[in-house]
Amino acid sequence: MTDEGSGERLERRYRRLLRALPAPQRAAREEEMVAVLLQAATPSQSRPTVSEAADLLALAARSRLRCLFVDPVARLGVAVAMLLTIAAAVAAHDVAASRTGTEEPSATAGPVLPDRFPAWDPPPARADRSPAGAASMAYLDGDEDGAHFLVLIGAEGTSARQVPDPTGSTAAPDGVPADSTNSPFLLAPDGRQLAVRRGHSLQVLDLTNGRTRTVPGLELANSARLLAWSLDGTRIAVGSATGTDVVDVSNGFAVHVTEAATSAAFAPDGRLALAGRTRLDVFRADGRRIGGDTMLPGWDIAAAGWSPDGRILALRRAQDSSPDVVPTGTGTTTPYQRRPAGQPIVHIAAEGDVPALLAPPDPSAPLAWNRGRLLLESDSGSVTSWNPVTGQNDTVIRTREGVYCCTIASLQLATNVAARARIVPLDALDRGPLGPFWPLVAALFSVAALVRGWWYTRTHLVHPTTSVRAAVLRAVPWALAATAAGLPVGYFYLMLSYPLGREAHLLHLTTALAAAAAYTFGRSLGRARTWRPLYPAGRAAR
Amino acid sequence: MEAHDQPGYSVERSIVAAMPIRRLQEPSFLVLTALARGPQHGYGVLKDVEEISAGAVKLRVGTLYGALDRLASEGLVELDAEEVVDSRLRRYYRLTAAGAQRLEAEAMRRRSQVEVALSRLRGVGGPLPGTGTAS
Repeated sequence: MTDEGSGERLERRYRRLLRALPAPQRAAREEEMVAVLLQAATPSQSRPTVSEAADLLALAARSRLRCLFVDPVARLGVAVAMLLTIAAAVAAHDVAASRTGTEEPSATAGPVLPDRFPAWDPPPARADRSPAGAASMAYLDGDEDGAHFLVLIGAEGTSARQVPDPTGSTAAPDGVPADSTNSPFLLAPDGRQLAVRRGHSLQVLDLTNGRTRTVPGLELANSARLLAWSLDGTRIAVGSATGTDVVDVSNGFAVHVTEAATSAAFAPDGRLALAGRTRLDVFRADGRRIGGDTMLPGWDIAAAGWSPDGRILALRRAQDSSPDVVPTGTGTTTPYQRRPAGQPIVHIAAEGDVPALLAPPDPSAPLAWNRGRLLLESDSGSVTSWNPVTGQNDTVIRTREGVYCCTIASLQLATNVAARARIVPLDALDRGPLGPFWPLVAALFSVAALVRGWWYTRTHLVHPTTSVRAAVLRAVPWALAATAAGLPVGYFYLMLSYPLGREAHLLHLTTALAAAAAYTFGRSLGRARTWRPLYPAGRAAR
Repeated sequence: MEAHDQPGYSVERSIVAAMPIRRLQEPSFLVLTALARGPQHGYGVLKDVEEISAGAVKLRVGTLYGALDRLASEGLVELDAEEVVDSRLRRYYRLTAAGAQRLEAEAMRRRSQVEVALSRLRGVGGPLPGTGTAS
């Protein structure tokens, strides 16, 4: 009894192995082969030996390979599956290599600024989907594929994120110089929030969790400008033709002052300086005016704003450039004269609550205070570090080289972050997780092609006259032809990948291959009906 | 049409015609030799091959049916009869005229090679050391 039991088990196991044969071959051969296998088995045998199993699987593999390498449809499918697998591997490698960030923040962790502007191939992930924490820099940029976005460089200098199209059209219109006083966005001093104007509403993107809030109850006028964040990140000064509102971003409550301002800055102690065409006014946090002075004509309050000690206010040239004049004395009735070239402006105010005014010598815009110096955005796009005491001016953030597609605009620094930041060499940036999953798509297609190929060889047999070796040899011209066809594609791809984004062209290539695969599947379905089976089915004895 | 001339097989004539005559591989040669004595079923071929090669070659079942498929599709072997023994299907195969011809050609080719080898060994001057049987 036990013998018969083990015999049945053995038969079941042999039959399981024979399932690897293509269906027509199995239908014709299974009963006969099982009989011979059982006859050849030793009496006590209850499972196929390793060499028997290998032998049967080799038979199945030969039958299937013959089909794959001879059948023209299957052959094309194999070529496509291989190409897709390679494309998936290349794309995955490319993505993995470019997306991986640097090692953990260095032991001397602290805010840093990169020493140059990175290029965007591939572009970074979105800040709202993959938040990376506080940012030290924000600016408008683009990539070589023509996309425009707002770039956020992480305060640790190791990450980059983007906010796509913050205004609906981030490209600065021709002839309108990008300028921090009419920017559509405003980075908070601590770098944790980004205010973005969307139509008539004001939205605040929290960079630490990616959530976007619309400031409730706030209707921005057409003329409204985002002027300045308070240092604690709770309020924003919004200027318009009718005056200035200090808006609490959490609830939309606004303190209105009637002075219309073109620029503003919050002091560390909460004072607010508002600069109009001719006047500089200083208010307390509750909106009460506590002092004022004549504003230097042709100057605005710079993004750097108040010095950390709250005594100096950095200025920048107004966009509608007026005569470059300097005061010749102190006080409210100061006469002015044209300033000598290369000289800074220092103007000491008459009132105690009114800051001294400081403007750098060149037509450059102070972005932020940095350890007693001012970081200046120069006309050439680089950032220099200017020492107001010695007049020393060093380039600290270089302009980008070798990228011709886009210019950096509306550069803003998180002023509190920048105040303590060190300048470090730009390293590989963590650009966040991959947005479009093209490597995955390519891999799925190649798996589909392989499954299809497996299924195809289940039901199709190629005449066994053809040895597998001969079949492989006959596939070689096909492989060469496929390579020859692929070379121009690869050449085209390489040509395009220099000026444009590599990822974009991997995508194009993958899409083309996927289309070829789809075509192949369709063809193979069409062929299946015309292919004559080698073994007529249903000849089994029972 | 011809697909059902031989039970169990359909032959793609175009492919057969396109293929050049190749040398018989060792398993095929042994299977043909086994069938040269008369029709045999699969297990009989296995045992016979073992006997012919003095136990040196033990065909596996997959190898046997790979060879039978190939030989049948080249028209060297054909189905002789089917019977059911102990509720097991048993198929007998026999050599065709083409198969006999092919086996003979292969045997002659092998014999001429063997003879050349042996005669050259004799020409060198007797058996090589350690090869035992010469003369």
